[in-house]
Amino acid sequence: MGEKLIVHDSAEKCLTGYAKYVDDISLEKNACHGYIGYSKIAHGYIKDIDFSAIKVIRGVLDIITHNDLPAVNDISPMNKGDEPILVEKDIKYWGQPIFLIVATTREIARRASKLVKVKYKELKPIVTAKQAKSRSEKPLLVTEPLTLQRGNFKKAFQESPKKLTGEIEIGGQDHFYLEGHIAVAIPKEDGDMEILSSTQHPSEVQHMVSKSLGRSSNCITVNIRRMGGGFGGKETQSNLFAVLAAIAANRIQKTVKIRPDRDDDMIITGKRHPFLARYKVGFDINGKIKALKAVLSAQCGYSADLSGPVTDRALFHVDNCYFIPNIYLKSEPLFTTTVSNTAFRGFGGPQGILVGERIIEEIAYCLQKNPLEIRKINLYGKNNRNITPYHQKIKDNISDKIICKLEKDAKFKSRLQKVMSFNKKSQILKKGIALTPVKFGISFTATWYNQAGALINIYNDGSVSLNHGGTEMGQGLNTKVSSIVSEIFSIPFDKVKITQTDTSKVPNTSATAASSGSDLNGKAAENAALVLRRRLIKFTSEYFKIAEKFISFNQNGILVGNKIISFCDLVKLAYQNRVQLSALGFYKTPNIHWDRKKGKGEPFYYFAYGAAVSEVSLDILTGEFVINRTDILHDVGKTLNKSIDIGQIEGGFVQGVGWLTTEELVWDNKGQLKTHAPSTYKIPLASDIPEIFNVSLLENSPNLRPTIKRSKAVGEPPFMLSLSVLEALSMAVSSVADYAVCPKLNTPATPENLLLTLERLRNYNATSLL
Amino acid sequence: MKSNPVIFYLNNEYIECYPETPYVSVLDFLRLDKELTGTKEGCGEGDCGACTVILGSLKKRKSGFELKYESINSCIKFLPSIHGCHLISIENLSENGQFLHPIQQEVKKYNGVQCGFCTPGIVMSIYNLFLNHTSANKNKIEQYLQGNLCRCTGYSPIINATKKILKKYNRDKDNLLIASKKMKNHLLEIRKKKPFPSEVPKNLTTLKNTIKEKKNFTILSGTTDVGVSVNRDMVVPPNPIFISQIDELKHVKYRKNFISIGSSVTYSELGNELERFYPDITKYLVRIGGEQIRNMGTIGGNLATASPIGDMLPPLIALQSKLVLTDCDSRKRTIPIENFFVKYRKTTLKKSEFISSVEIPYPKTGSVFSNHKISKRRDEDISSVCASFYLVLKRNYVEEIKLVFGGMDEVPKRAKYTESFLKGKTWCQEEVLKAADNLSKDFSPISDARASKEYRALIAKNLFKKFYLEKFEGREGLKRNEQALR
Repeated sequence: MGEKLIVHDSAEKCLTGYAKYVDDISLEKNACHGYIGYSKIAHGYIKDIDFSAIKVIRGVLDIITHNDLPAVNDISPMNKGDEPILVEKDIKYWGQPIFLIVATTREIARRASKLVKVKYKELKPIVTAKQAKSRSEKPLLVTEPLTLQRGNFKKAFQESPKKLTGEIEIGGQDHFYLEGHIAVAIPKEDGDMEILSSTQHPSEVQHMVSKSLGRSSNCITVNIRRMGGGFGGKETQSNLFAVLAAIAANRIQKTVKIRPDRDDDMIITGKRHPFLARYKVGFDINGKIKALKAVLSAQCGYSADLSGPVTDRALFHVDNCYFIPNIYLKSEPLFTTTVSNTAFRGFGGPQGILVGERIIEEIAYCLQKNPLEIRKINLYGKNNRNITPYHQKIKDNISDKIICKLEKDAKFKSRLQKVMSFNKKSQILKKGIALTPVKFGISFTATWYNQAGALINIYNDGSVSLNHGGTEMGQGLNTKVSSIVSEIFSIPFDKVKITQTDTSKVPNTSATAASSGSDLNGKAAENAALVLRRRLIKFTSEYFKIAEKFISFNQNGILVGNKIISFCDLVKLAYQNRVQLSALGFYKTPNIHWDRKKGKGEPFYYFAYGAAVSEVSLDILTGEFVINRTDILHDVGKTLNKSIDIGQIEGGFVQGVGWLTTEELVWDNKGQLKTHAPSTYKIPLASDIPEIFNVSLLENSPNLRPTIKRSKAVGEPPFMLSLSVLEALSMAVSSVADYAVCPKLNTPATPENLLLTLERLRNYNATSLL
Repeated sequence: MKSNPVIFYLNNEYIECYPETPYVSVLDFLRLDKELTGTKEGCGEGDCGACTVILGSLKKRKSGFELKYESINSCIKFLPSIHGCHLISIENLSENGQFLHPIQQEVKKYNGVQCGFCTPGIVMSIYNLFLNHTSANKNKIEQYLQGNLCRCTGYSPIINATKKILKKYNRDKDNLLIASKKMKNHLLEIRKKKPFPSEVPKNLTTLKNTIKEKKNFTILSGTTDVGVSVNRDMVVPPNPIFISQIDELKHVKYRKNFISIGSSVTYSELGNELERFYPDITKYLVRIGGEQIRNMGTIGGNLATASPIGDMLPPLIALQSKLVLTDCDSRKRTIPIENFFVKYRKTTLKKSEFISSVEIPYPKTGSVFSNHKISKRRDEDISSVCASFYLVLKRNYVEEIKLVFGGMDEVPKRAKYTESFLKGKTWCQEEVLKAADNLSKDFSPISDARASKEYRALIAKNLFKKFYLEKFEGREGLKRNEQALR
């Protein structure tokens, strides 16, 4: 059964248009709509709000400001009290919610929200990390920074034969889930509230709604069948919409839906953190790194949100696949008057790895070697040189194996030669090729999040219903978890009913994030299914008076001695004999611990590895480029579902390419985001993907840890394979200066950025005609 | 007073409706009125394709009317403008979820679905390709998917499924095409027998009368621009007149000295016609929007909105095309296009006038015509800079030259200083490089979210160099689907 290809459980429904997303669910006829009004300055305070223009509009039912909130005006996920639901006075970003209009239709609410007049006193905005740092010696931080230290940087740096200092500016990224934020609040009796929310974290929505209504959590139920994409953007950012819908619904005692327009969604909600990193590296003449110091400053926005763990994870990944004997890393989570940045696939990891890989690239240019050579001599070892900057010993390192296999399979060496000779001849077009690896730590660094629950009910007709704490956002989690359960019962995949995530079924769940969805929920569901199977076996043994070892589950049913009983019949029999046919499963990741103050511990249960080779062609007169070919070799342990895993790898890679190339967030000097719609914010299209795109899974590489079926998490790690494209572009750029200098591309490498960098480099080679 | 109803077919259903305002979008009609929620709103600006539907409309040909099915963005299409059309939503493909259409079967097989929110729109775009082509290479497939964003899959499985669909299935067996003859008759009947809604003139005469009656009106055609401001900014232009049903404005006629193109001719239709005379235009036209936008947007609309980055404007100016403007009393005036634009989004169009056609001259012997577009993302993006170069050489001397740029000033503009510098000069690398430096005297561009002024200035210069190096020195520039080294 495992051999048969199992397609995403919702595929047919999505293809025919019958899959229901929150906005597709029909509500009572008298359901109302809320629309958020937000600040039109980035920094300052409110002097006056005038609602008079809308009070006369027919259909407007309610106006809600901070004065009308029933309980706490804070939805900080870290309980820091720094994230008001609605602004009281101080404005900290362009787009910060000030009021909610409730009306009979969305159109009326939206139109009314535009007629409210707000008077402000404007203060100077702080937009970028650079601006925040230039403001003062000790810039304002939104949360505690982290320091990681091993060895003696100072001494080792001084003694290093070669030294480099550098800087890189890394752009942020909008999630651009195709389905924008949405929440529906339905008031129930006794003041209870049911919430439909497009969220990766139903439990947090539940807790936030309960906190903001001043009611206990058992009054609030949150459910979600599927999201139209999440990518981290619906981990904490859904709270605002759900909380406001609940507050409004509670006031008017009618169902209230809130769905911001795409532009407003992009303006109101947080994004991937832009970073500024400054580093010093000491190395020997072969390129072996001796000492590294890096400060990673992040544009966090106005509040902490998840910036603490995001910047932590950035530090955890600066080393990527490389052993650095003497290291000092520090995070700087900077306060800026921009939207509070949040989780996004990779969660700081991509920015950290980019810093590490840039350092490798710079060393290579300095020594006039190919970066791959520098990569190889710095890789973590098997039995020594295997301690990370956070003092965790790496026990599952396969980066060497992956790099060598991919280098051979993709014919990297010979193609590198061909690229070099192509560039000698070609005048307008230049090529580049690069191989970059990824090592990504799996587990929430906040150890307590690494737990999950599941509930399985077998009904007396033999049908199975599965519920777990994870959410489906397209990644195929439900498909993976259901196939685990169906295999345990040896019943067809489609006999296990996948149900919506529901806080009343499985409580206190963690966000479906950190790539952990199938690791945690798969294990919890497996545990529940195993409990039920054991009960059924025990019952069968007693009922048929046969030893348990003669009972087994297979495709045709349950083999009892030499007799086959169908799953349905057995269940019926078990029910009649009063066997409990419902079970809860629970799982917590073992062995992990993390002491943030000391910067020591074992935060990750295991690592996922991968590598990519990309070849690009760059037009040096325009800065336009295409990706000619990408080869990926990625480690998913023993795969749970090959096609779903490959989908995650391809999709993650392409999303990463967007982050590094065309997706540019632009703020004006007043601190207003100018790229808040697909017309100005450009995510990759079908014509932007590699012309040749080969993706393989590393074979015979089961997870050394006893994870669910020895698989590995796959959501985030492939995202960073896109760095191969950036470095290939860098090589194409550097060809105009005979590869003498590292182009030090900041990201995103838009055509503009590439062309202006080309201009800078052409000065090294004044003889060039172009 | 109640206006006449908007009449059309939705899937297999005959619809007569009275929209509350003329600005009810086709998307809202589907989702809110008909509770057909398969069509999604992703952006409301015609940029993501989640709302893609197929629209069948009658196109007048020499041989009579043809019923043509094309994809459009339902979020920026307003209900009155589909009067007399056949609207197909995703629900129709599977016959209300009962059977998967071959396209749906293949996309499923190739795992082209992850979160699924873009999926109905993607399926409709593939359907558009399937209905209109029996084969397609990768370029063509990408072109038909330009107007659809997917954030999950990375597109590979969707492209591969599309290849398979075109190989494996025959469109003649598609239910929609089988029934299209019958549908055509239904639509012709609506056209002949049913009154048109008051904001949808049937022909030029009604248009002129409507203009005469109404003081303050707005002529709307493809609504690809106005749709965005209605949805995003909630700015509603007064008294809309939807001219998309007027056949007289959709002509393409080959006159003695020029090609006459009706102002309601869409980008898609324009491409097919112009390609014969100006083959270079094709690769440029497919960079305007996505298929949906090209099926909606019209040449007249692009001119009337007068955007500094209107993609059709530089080529038309470079070719020294003329505009025919007609007023409500049938008075006509013909003006060179470049005199039409006054300043940022302002034209010389008078209150009582509308654009009736564009006259594009035939290419002169010895002429070279080249068009360029630079944007952050190659496809479905708004230009940072666009440029059209038209050159006539006589014994290697520059006899005529037009260098036109969009995105370099508040209106699309010729580089007159540089043109006059080059006129009469020998056409060689040395002069071209000198001329390129002169462009800074013609333009002082500004910075915005799309590009900085430095980049714009540099790009303008480089595009001109590129024109020379590619067309006259045979140097290779970047091509779509540039090959990998083997």
